[in-house]
Amino acid sequence: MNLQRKRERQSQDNSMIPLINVVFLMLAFFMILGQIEGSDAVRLDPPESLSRQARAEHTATLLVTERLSLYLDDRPLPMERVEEEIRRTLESSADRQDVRVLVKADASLPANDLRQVLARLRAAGLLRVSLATEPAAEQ
Amino acid sequence: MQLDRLVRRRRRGISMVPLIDVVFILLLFFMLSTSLIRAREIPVDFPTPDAEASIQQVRIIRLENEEGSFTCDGLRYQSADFDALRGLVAEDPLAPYAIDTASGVSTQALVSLLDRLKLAGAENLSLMGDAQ
Repeated sequence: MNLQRKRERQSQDNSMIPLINVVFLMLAFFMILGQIEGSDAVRLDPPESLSRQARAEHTATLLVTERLSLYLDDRPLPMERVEEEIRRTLESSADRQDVRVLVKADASLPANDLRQVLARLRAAGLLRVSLATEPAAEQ
Repeated sequence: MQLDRLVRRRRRGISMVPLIDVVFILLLFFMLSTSLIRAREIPVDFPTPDAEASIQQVRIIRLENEEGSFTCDGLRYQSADFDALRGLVAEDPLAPYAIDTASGVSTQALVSLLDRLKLAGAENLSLMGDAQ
């Protein structure tokens, strides 16, 4: 009687093996292909684009929400202080060409407001700016 | 005799249940925290005053509305009309284009126009600096 119960338990364990195999495979898939990213200070929906250029490393990230609130590296930043902060970043780096700023703007932000922010970045003397996008859904 | 051997074997083997628990928790963690969408970017260029003056005259494209209609050199185009777009760019593929936007146009519309112009063969695209 006792022996029979043990055998039953063992056969139950054996039937779990295909499940464990699948779970291990899924785990390996997510560990290898996924990228763990920290979340932004605010929820943003970047515009979709056909661009195939992968996002590179950046010195700083400037978030621009739909209502034109700015966050530099997840810290709120008033519009008037953008140039000052960018200048400070530029001064602290050895080469101006190495300073890359990623502008992550919401897709529904008015383009004129975006251009206003970009104009401030240019006025601060920034040379390399990129706009964050996401791959288009239908492509 | 056989019972005895079975009991000993069970004791020596590692129980799978805690392992499965841990693996499930790991799986849940990775499934929830990873993103499989590869993030992309587009470089933003500003027209430089010197380059504008010395090389060629900048062609200004003014994006008028959300549907993608724009004006260039006084003519009206639809960005969905790819042949017209290609015709426009083919006149002078290397000409610098500066994109201006009307008020009420979203960033998405601007990015879509940049994409279409790039597809049509325009190489030298930039955004007009001052918004107003």
